[in-house]
Amino acid sequence: MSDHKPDVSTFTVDPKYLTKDGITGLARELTTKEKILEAARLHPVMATLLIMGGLATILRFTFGLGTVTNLDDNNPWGIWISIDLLCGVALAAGGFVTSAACYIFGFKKFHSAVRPAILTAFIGYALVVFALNYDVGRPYRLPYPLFWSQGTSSLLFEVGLCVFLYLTVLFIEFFPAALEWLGLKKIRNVVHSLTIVLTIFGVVLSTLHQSSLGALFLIAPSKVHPLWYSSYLPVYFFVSAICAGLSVVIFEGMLSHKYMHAKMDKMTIEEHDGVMFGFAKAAAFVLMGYFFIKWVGVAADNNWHYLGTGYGAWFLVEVIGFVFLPAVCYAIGYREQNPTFVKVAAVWTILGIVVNRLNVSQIAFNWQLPSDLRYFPHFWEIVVTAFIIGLHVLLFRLIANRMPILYTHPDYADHDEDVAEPAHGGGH
Amino acid sequence: MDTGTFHTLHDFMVHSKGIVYIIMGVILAGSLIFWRFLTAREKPIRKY
Repeated sequence: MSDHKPDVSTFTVDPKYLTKDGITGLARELTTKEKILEAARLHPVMATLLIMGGLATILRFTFGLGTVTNLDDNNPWGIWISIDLLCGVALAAGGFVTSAACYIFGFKKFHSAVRPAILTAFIGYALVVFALNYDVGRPYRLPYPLFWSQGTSSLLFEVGLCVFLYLTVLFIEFFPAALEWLGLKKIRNVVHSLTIVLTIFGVVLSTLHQSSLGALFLIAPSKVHPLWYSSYLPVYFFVSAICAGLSVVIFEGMLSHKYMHAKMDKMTIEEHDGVMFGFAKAAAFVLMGYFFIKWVGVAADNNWHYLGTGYGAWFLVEVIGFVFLPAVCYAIGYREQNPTFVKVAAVWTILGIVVNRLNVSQIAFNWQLPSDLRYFPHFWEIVVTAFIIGLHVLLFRLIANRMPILYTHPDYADHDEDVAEPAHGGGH
Repeated sequence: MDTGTFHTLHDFMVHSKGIVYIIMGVILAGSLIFWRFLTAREKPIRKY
């Protein structure tokens, strides 16, 4: 295990907090004021997103939905639901997938991917709840459906309850990193001991609400196009969320290696290829399984004749172009141990999930309405969605740059040996 | 029975279930073939 111990000296002063002294020419640590300014420094695109997002927020909460959205009685759910919520929840599935692989299925070689995946999922779910406020309004009444007036016969209640509980679970799973950063060892050890219980709880809750998001559309058989409407929708949403989660972990690892490499310790860097190819193998097989079961849905409802229509062509683009081909790309990437194929497949799959969620909730939804009654997002709806995505990137960088997310904290390197030891055997 | 014409629910179920069962067979075979393709270059794990 000594091979995997991080170089403690690299954590004494972060290189980005070093500057050259103007007088002596020697390197010196930044002052607190300089550190704050460094932390507040934003990319111009990010700064623009935040300003525009702030403006959209003011407009939304002062003048109402009508000012900033194209929603109406025919289309009460826009891209704030399709992208911010449906895609957001699916793409945040990396948290439960990675922690289940590591702690339940015993793939300890994925341990270094758990914290980044949990952080991505935690921020993702937090922003799903945050974004939901734009749609439903009155943020102060957000707890009402859970604590005041429970709609126990509604799938939305089940989704809301699961997201509330799972967000809490993700917060507790993420909490040890914050406690290590704060140096609170005793509390950290107590919270860390809950890992297995939280992982099991997380898997159960994720299975429930990922599938329930698909089940939401079961109440609209006349609105969802038959090629996308199926009694298997809950299964489709759950299985595709697993593909999304696996792909997001690969994608997030790819970006972290490119932009935050200096923050990684030796173990994280050494395990990176194993995580990427292990997840690629799983994603290839699950994605191919998803491709197969999509056809079971078409066959069970005898919807073959719709394949010859325009919507049928679009369905084929989704199922072949964004499911089958990425699965093959993943398979070739894993088989040839080619990282480029795996990375391309990860981005491809993420796009495929976005296409699928947009199809079910927008493009194939209300498909019988005349085109002038169909929905297209308002400028401010797109701004809010971009703002939420920008916030995700910003928060991830902010936290991962400070807390032990991409490295094992030196004080706990030995403590975590039992879970950090790479597994031998067992294959990928 | 005419192709694509169902007079009873039973007709429909026999037809659609029949196709689903055929697809399930294809899935079973396809999964095995895909797994073989995926893992063909893996080094065997020595258990001894």
